[in-house]
Amino acid sequence: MGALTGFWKMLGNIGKRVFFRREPKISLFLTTAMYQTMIDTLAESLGGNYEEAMEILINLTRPLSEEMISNILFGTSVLGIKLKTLLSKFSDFKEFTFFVDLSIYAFFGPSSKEIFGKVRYIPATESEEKVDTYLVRLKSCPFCYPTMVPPEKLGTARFGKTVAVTIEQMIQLSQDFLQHNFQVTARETRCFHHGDPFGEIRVWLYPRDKLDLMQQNAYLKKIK
Amino acid sequence: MSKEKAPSVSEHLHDPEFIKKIRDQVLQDIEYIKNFKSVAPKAKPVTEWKNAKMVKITTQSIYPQVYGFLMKNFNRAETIVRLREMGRRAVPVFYSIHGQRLSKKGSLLEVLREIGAHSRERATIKEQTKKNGIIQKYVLKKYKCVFCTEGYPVENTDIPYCYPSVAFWQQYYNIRSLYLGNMKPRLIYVDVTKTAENDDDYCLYSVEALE
Repeated sequence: MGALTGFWKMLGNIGKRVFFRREPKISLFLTTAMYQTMIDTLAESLGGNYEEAMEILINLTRPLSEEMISNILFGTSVLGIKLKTLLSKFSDFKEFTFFVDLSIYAFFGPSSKEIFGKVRYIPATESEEKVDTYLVRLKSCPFCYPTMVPPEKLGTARFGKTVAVTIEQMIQLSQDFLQHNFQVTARETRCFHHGDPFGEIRVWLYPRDKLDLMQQNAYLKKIK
Repeated sequence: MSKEKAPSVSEHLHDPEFIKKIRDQVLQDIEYIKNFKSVAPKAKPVTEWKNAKMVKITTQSIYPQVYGFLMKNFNRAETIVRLREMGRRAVPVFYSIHGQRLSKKGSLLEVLREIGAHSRERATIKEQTKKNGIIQKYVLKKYKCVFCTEGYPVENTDIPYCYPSVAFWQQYYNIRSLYLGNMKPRLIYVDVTKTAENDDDYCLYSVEALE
């Protein structure tokens, strides 16, 4: 396990700012408007079925999204240091939250502080689902605010699913790299669109030899 | 994929019925913006975050798949209609969450420059034609197209990749124009002439005044 030092944290904090500054960016307003209308367009093509539209969207975008995250995680260097080198310093479950926070900042920049809370780690012994869990809280949500589609129309789907999948894939690829044998699964368990006072993405790390525990996870039954 | 021709609009660009259809859609979108009420009000208006941006690469896994889905399920003409419609619809949503933009005055060129600032595209104006001091027609040369550059390539297609973009540019201006009521030209039509084939290439759009 890599030793976490203040040095690596400091480097990570500088690196996330450098990454965000140097990468091409796009307005969040424009992104959320396009995201909404892409879902509307798909749903309209499916006779107004938003639930199916979200499912198709996620299934279609998963492979590209995974490729994109993999390229960032394993192909990016900031200040001459490979991101995977930094990742290897945060292999401890609790310390890994720093890496997730850092990745969220790298994608959303300073706005990430308006949208996301600090990532929390819940050890398997304290988790309702009996597996190591990460909680990502959303203080506000750019993805569901612009919609006029009532939540019932989405059924078991959630507008924030793409964010949940991105975080899920990022953690899965990181855990694979760290040679931790987990099946990572994430769901948007709380959602402003459904009337909750905050949004929440739960990420569960299921040991591959205990995948049957997934059967007991009530969230996985009611949320796609 | 179907190779049938897309409906050509150039010949009826000045047909009163065609213009009326565009105008009615703009007025409908203005009503949408005025009546917008989020169904998730606790999600906090995005307007509170000034100049919020995100890294573009993270957004690029979605559009190619939506584009591919439409191409697979509809013929060429219908795909183009749906792609344009997608770009058009994004504008009222954009103004709904970023309403202060709506009342900002500006010329045609200033408004188009404003879009570039949001999308981080770099546009220059070519071959401008004016009549009585009002722009009638010009070609927009656009680098770093939000759809065409740094994205995942889609093969076997002759449908310009950035159709949503032209409809977005068109509706962005038209809504502002009819909302403010004193802009010249009043309405424009934007179409794709050429799309970028690599990251150093550019897209060309023809912009024409309708009213």
